[in-house]
Amino acid sequence: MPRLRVALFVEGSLGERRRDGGDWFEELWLKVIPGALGVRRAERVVPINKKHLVALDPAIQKLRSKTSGTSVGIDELIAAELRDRPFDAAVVAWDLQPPWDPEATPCRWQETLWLYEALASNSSLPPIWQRWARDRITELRARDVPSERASVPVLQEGAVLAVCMDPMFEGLMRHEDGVRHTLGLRAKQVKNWPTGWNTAKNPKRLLQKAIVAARDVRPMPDLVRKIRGDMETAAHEWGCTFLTPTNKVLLDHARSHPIAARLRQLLLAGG
Amino acid sequence: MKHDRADTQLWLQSLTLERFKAAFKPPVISLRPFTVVIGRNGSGKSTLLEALQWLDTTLRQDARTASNRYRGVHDLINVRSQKQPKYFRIKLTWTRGDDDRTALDYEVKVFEGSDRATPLIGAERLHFKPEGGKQQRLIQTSKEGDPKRMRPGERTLYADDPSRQRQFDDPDRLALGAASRIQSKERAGDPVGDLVEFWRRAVFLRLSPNRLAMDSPAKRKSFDPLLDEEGHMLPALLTELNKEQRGALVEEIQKVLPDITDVQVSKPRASRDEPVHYSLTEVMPYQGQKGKGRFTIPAWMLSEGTRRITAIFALLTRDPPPSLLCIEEIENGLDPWTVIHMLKALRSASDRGTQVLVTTHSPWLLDQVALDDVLQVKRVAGETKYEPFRDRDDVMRFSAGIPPGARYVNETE
Repeated sequence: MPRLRVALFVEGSLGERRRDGGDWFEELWLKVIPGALGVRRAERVVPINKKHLVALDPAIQKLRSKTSGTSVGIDELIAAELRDRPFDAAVVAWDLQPPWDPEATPCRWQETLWLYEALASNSSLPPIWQRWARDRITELRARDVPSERASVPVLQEGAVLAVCMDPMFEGLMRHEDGVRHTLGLRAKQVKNWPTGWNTAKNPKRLLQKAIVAARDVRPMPDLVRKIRGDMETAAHEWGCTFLTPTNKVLLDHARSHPIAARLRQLLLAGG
Repeated sequence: MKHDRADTQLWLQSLTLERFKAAFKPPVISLRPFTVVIGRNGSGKSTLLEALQWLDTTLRQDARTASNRYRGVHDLINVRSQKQPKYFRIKLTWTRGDDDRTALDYEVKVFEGSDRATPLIGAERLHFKPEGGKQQRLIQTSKEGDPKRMRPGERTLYADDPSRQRQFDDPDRLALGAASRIQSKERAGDPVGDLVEFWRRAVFLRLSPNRLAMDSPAKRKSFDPLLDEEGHMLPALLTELNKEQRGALVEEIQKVLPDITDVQVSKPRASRDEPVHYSLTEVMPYQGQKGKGRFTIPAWMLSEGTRRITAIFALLTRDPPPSLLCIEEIENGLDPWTVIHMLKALRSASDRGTQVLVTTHSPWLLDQVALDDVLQVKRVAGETKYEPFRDRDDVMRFSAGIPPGARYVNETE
């Protein structure tokens, strides 16, 4: 049986260019993360943002004035990507909290249901994809409680597997010692170093503060000098750097993170 | 209220306007390290920025120059103001980094002179409250001005320090400016010094694509801002960047325009006063042996958006960067992807110590911004109101998944 061609749909954006002309977003998801977490490599990765998911929210559909900001749903995006360059199955990974409201508490179960409902009813998807989504939504709706899972869904042709990166992908790198080690600041007192590594709601902000603080250290650590951007402007390059194979401390943490476990479970099952 | 701000430099926490342009007497306006101001045409977005810019120009030059764009002070004073004598007032509060306990309060009251055009500094006050310490009166008004007699306010610098105390009664210059000159000679570490540094690096932009394409002097004057409002002095700003900063600027531009490989400023040939221009180098395909080559594109041939991003990224890569960066209608001339990248760059700058204040009309842009960072301006029955987005019931009635731009265009009228 030929190997399944899997496409990843993950939060992020293209545009962080590598010196060799490649893109850091693709580097992170097609090479670094599979290597770091020991999961299969996908054929391709497509950037999405939270709006592709919340576009499926019935509340958006009811708005009087539609805006460009409400975007198209992930189902439409998958259909368009399939027409563009076929693949056999997809994994969709989104952040829990929308970037516009770190205080929000969206229901990931509800978001998962929206995703499969949209896929099941999207007539521009090939029938096998719609059928799989219909079976999935039937199974999900039959549960008394969301956690009542009979078995792990398997990657197969037409399958779309969902993972909510609670609260966000950067959670994989929320490890103070690992971050200090990466930045070359292990034994140093660093002014404005962030606190709350175990409790802060937003791991991206923690990493951002750490990088900004490292920039003020003199002499400036080599790595910080080399990567000019921060978690706002060079998030994927930093992701690749934090999860580099030689960074054992941080890799051990990342591998034991629930997001990693879920990605492994989905990407290793079947196919 | 705590914000994600790691540095210890001053940031402007609040602004209070009284009788200034569209603002008659709105409540205190809270500002964040990164603030996006949205509101309908004529609601008063620019009023907020112009109040700050009026102060900035008065500090750099004088109140007459600052009022020139309004053809004098008369029109600057809110038309609802019937109180005599006519005046406007601006109050500002700064704190240091995240520390709300250290506050620097400044206030200036400006009268309309008897000729109905000349501004007259009527009163000025600067108080510093260190954490757990006694309040220091750095500027105090001993006698308020009298516009009928064209008499400015009499102000005392360092009112609590007899050894440095001085009297000041210039009609159109601020005592704050004078205090800074005394301070820099006599004592380091004074909060006034930080305040002066804050204003020295404050930048107000209403970029003009035409002016951005013109030749400019190679150097700015010492009292000029890092970049003038319309961006005419961009070549001078680019000249100030060292090799490393120029490299960082190119990298930043490449995130939007991947084929740009260099930024250059022409060298004056005849004399130092000869105007200069800037150009970008782009790698493009052509019918040559290698199939592609490097081409120098002068400012006047660049697209409107490219000129704008070059100006803003140049400011952000300068070291030290602006302390306060105010940009009117930031989205002008930028495509949706560039808008997103520009916001990332501005947020990054804000994390590194630049306070950012931008206005917009774009729901698309607003969708990329955190609810907490949005300030909405509304004009209700002639009253201009500045309200944090999150404090508005009309905005917060939507479910969590609705992005800010969609909330804005769907709120109750």
